[in-house]
Amino acid sequence: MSGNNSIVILRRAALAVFLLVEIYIGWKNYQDIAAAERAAGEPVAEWERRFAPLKKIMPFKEGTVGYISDSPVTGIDYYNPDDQIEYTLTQYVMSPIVVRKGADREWIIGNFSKQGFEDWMRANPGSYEVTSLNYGIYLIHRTQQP
Amino acid sequence: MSFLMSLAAFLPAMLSGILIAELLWDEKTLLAVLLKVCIGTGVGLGLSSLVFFLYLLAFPGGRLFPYIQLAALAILIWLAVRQGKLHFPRVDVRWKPGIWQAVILVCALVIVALAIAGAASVWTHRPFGTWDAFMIYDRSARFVYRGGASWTQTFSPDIDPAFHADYPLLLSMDIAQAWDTLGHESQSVPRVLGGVFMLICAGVFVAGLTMLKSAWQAAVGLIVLMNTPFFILSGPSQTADVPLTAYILSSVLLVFLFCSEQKPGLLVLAGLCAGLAAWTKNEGDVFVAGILAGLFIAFLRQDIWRRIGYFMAGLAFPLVIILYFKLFLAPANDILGTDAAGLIQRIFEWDRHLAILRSFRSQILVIGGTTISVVLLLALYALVFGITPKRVHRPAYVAVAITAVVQAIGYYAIYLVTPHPIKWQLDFSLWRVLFHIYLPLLFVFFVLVTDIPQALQLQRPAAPAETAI
Repeated sequence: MSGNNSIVILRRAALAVFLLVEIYIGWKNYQDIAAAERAAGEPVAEWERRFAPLKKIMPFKEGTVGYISDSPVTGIDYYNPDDQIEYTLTQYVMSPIVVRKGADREWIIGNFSKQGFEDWMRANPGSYEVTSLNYGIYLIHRTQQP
Repeated sequence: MSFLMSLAAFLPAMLSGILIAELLWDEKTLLAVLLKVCIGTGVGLGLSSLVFFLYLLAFPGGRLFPYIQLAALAILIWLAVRQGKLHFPRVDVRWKPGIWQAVILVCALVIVALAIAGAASVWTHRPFGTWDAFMIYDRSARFVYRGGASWTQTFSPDIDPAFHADYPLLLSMDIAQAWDTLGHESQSVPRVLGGVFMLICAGVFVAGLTMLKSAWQAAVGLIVLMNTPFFILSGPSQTADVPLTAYILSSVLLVFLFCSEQKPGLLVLAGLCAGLAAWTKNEGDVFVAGILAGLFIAFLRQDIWRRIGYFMAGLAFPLVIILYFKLFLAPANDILGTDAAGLIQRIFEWDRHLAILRSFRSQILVIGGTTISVVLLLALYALVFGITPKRVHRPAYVAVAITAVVQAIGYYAIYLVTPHPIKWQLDFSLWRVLFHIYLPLLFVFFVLVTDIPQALQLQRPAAPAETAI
């Protein structure tokens, strides 16, 4: 009987320690999550704002457009993961238009720095109608197939 | 206000699911009703997503789905009334908490409050959720809602594989149909949906443990669940991991309940939840394979074909639609849709095996993202409290163990053949997919370990004959 009581006392003590540890974990989790979320950026709303003028002038509401950016332009130093992030955001905000990387479409979205756009135009001579919007965003209409 | 409107947009689906659970499982206790509310809410959201998918296939760009939902709800209410299923639950609450129960309850409340504060922080700072949420599920929902008659453009071969257009559509269809009901896009919809699935997960966990053990065991289990950072981060982040885990957990719990109650409707519901898991995420397919294998072995000597038949009856509807989606609409998967020669070559790269095994080992120790290893903590807990499995649940233990093994092997195989850089793939996803296995096992852990009132001698222990396996 006394052995049984000892086990019960041990279990009660263990549960008390367990609960204290869990409260510590809960508090630490909350602090970590809150700090990480405060530091995290929220890019989507900003991207929606940037692309609102482009969405207004797009000549169609569905189909596929090309997408070009600084990344494949020789000489432009650009951190590649950022380029993928911007491409992802562009596809999201332009849905249900399919945004496909490359310049092989009649309509192309350009997402450039000023220098990057000029370099791309030099490297890809052809007949284009270009609408320049804010934030380095361009709507490029290829008027002649390469 | 927009949160309430978003919730209202899901109400017909949720109520329909609760009524379906009620029709399939005739149990009138308060706990059973609470459990049916939790499981039924998930079932309703899942079925609504499937039916909306069929509706759009038949009527691309159609805008009458909200009326179909209301008609379905009316029919279900009529059926429930006709069968005498609408009733007040039988309330049998004996509330005499002692000091230990009060301590556990206060701790649980503190930790739930901290978890809610953490989740609220994610909700506030990430209205669009994490990358997977908006680039996969919200993007697809936008194609469906904005695309009108051309909604199948979401499966266009021009879509970059990074957007995973082959992923199942449960979340996307639910978001799009709620926008359809509201008549406009609202970011509150995916946020509310993420919250609802978190509540389903926690509700099934707590109500299930209370039914199988006691409220105090459930409270201790809830403390561990709510202290799992991945759960707190993933729910409000609007990814599919918590919804998938909610369906997996529901299916597992229903198998446990079937073992003790032997009601066929429970297995039908378990099959339905398994099918909805597969409609939520590709990893759900692995779960379906695992639970089918598990049930087959667990019931091998117990009227196996009839029981598997009940499970298949629930699984059939989602499964047929998933097969249609995969065979005729979805583009090739970015992992399995690659060249066979490269795939076979990767299987024999021993460095990959080592990298995967090392990653599994390190991630299991910190599963769920906890500050202190939950695996070690629970091992100590089991050592002190002991385990008291019930004989009646034996087939469920076998089924869940086999399911977990099949899931682990399935995930291992996917990492083995992935064409993406292995380190990136493991770092990016292993901690998330292990959560699908962890949560049901956490539930089973608290079913296995000695009940709190019995361990602390807060009440008379159960008879030995009942507890011995």
